[in-house]
Amino acid sequence: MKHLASTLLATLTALAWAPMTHAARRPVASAAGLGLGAAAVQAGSGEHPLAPLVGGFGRLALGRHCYLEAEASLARRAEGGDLAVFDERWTRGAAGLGCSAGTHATRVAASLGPAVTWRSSSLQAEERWQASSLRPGLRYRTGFLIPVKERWQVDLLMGGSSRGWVLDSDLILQAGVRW
Amino acid sequence: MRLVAPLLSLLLGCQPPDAEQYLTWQLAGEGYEVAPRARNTLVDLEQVSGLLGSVLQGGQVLLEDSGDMLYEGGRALHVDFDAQRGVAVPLDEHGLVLWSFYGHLEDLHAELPEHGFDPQEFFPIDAAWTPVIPDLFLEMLPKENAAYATAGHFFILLDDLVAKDVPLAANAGIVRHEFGHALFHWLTTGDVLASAPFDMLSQTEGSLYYSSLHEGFADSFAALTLDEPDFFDGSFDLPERDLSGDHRVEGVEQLPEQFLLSADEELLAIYDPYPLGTVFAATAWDHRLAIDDPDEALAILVDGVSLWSSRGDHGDGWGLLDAWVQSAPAGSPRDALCSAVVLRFGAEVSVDGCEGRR
Repeated sequence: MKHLASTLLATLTALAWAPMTHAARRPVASAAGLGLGAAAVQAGSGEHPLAPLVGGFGRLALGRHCYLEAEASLARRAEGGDLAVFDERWTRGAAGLGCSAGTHATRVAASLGPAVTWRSSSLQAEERWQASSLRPGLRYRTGFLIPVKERWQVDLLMGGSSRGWVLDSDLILQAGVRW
Repeated sequence: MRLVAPLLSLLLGCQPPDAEQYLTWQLAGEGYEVAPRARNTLVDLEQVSGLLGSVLQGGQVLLEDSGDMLYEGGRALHVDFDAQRGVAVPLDEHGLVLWSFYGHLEDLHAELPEHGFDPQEFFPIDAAWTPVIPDLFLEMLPKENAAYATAGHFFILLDDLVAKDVPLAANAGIVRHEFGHALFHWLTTGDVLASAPFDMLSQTEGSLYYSSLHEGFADSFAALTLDEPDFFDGSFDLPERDLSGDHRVEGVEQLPEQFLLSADEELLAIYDPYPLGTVFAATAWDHRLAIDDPDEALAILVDGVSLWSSRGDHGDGWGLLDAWVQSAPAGSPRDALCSAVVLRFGAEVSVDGCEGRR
């Protein structure tokens, strides 16, 4: 039993170190983290008011230059006057296949994939009204993947996502751990 | 399997929810409220398009050499909405504003026959939401506004720069004011698509009087059909346009002839048509109070504009006062109008039909 435990510990330690040294050598590494940014979300009029955006991402390296990624984000804004206030939220899940080029220190990357946006709003007037919609779309992103030392990853990305017939855009700064 | 097609359709956004009513800003008592209204003529909630016209987004407003405005290149809207208890609920404020604008047009459309107008003369009217306006002169006009383009026969709606309790394009008084321009243009030209009597770029004494009468009639129409002298209420606090205020011609800083004298010395001087227009509109409101009938006051004003227009000189601003008074039935309606004219315009303005009332 003691032997089994020490073997397991040794294996886990090896696994923990191996990807890290592996990641340091690869142009694109697997990574996961959180993001903060701004979204320009298309309103019913066709205009694009700004909303703060938070999100999380996971990236799985495929070979030396490409990767699969998945992300979830939430944007929220309020608008209106004293008589009627809208509380609007956009919750988006997206997956994408991306590739990169450049030096080891900075990679220029682009990705494309499907997205689904759940948009929900509440309108507080004399009565409270609730509305929501689910829209599929395409998600694209371009920007910079920047490894920081061996362990960390910072990305600066801009992109957009269609939502039915409309298009939202965003700019996001992501930070996470790479392996 | 039977559920797959509807689910896929809903997921792709191909099938917007159906609703018999839609939410809009509406007048309620002294103010406004957001409430459902029947979906009478609004065929497409997503594109804000119906029997009374369509609202389009973007595009550009061009100014022709004749002074007429044209709108081209507008794109369909995509208002996102959901249905709750049979009521369409927009997912953002712009959707609510655009539906409210259409709803106010529906109210007007229903009321026009009561005022003796055939709605078919005016509808459909399209509207342009935040179009590009490349012309330098038009660019100098206020950026936060709604407008009616004469001859082009469309509305221009701009977003509010500063949040308001009731956004401008959702304010019933402002929509009626803009429609009042369409009505004045029709009364003075006979066709909503006809060119205006004056090029809007021209700055002659006649064209400046005509522009003030345009504003005055539009204010009168809004105030009398809503029976509310401060029809901007809810969006703006504008005492200078509240028709119950003390607006007199002697308080107008520059009448057209005075403006033209000073304009020679200034670069890019633009005449402000509102102060004189407000004096005309305040006269109409006085008349309404005196005869205690907004509909009759409006009918007499409309008859006056028609009579004045038939005389052919659209630059003769004071001539409208003559025609207006002559259109009022002899007796108390005319006496009341003469009293209002004397109060607002003073004894200097001589009006045929009001002799002996100085």
